[in-house]
Amino acid sequence: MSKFNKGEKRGMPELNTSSLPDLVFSILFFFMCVTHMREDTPIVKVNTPRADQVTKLENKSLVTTVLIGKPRDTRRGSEDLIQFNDDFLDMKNVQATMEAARESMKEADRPKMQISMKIDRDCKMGIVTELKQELRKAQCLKISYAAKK
Amino acid sequence: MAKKKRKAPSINSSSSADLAFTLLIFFLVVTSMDTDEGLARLLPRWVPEDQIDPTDIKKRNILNVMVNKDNAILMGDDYVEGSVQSQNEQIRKKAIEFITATGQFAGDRGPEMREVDPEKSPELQKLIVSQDPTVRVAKSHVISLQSDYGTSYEKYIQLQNELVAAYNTLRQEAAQKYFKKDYDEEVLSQDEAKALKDLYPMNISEANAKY
Repeated sequence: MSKFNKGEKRGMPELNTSSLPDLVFSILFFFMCVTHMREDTPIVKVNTPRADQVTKLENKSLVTTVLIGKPRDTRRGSEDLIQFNDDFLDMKNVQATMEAARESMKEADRPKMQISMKIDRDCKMGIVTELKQELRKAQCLKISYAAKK
Repeated sequence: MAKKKRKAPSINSSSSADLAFTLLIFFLVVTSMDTDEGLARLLPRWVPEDQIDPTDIKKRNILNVMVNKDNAILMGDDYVEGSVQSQNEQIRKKAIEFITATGQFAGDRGPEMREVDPEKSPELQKLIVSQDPTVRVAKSHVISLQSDYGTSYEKYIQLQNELVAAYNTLRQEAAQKYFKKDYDEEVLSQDEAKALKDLYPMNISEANAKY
């Protein structure tokens, strides 16, 4: 007469998985919100230098990235080159390209435009300084030297 | 021909979890979470060469930091030598002494120290000068960083980083002294952060590389 009848042999009850897709979808949406699409594939080798005083770049949509490093494709030689948007950028085109990049931004955001320079640690300052001069000519004055902690 | 009412057959949704997982993994692969970090700088406005107006900055207000193609560093009148670690410490110490006009740069050898202008920096006046009226600010000091075309970028960033560290160390000390807080934009109120920035204004000039 026990209430806890163990008479019948029961199998393991099946786990209800009907909410599993909801769970996974919520993780998916979380990731879609907090991450951003990986930028264009680098065609130059960039290993940014270390620095412990770095600050975070506030708003992704205001940041334009320029890379400097040796080309991955050895046929392009071993001189440091500038990469912008999946392609090499010639020093004399920097000013026009940056002005065009600013034109493509929302009008309210244009003065806040920031250039993130991802430069390989083995680069020489020559090309960096030339790039900085061109950025000044293009009125892109807010820059950031990308570095990792 | 009696019609039976039938329930619509439910769609088998056991695979929708797999579907969602596939999407999830796709997003994990093609996106990245790392936010960009870096040393932020403001470049000076471009001036055509024939219009350059040689601004008259008194010599005592300038600390020259030069680094040549062999990555040797000259700061003020002395070379900075030794291991990277000890170089960093020397650079930071010297920069701090210069900004506060103490040690090697005390008195006439350092930058001019001025009283706080209450109109230009009301936050500093309200929050810090009211606590400590002896506060002076090296308002017109400039740390001029000069590099050569052959200087390695890594060395340049090391220097930039140590100079920023000097300012941050000073601001941290002041934050502890006057507000009993850490120098952190999230901890400090806007006015407090502004006061600390006015107390130690960052003035690093990046001169052009020389041939």
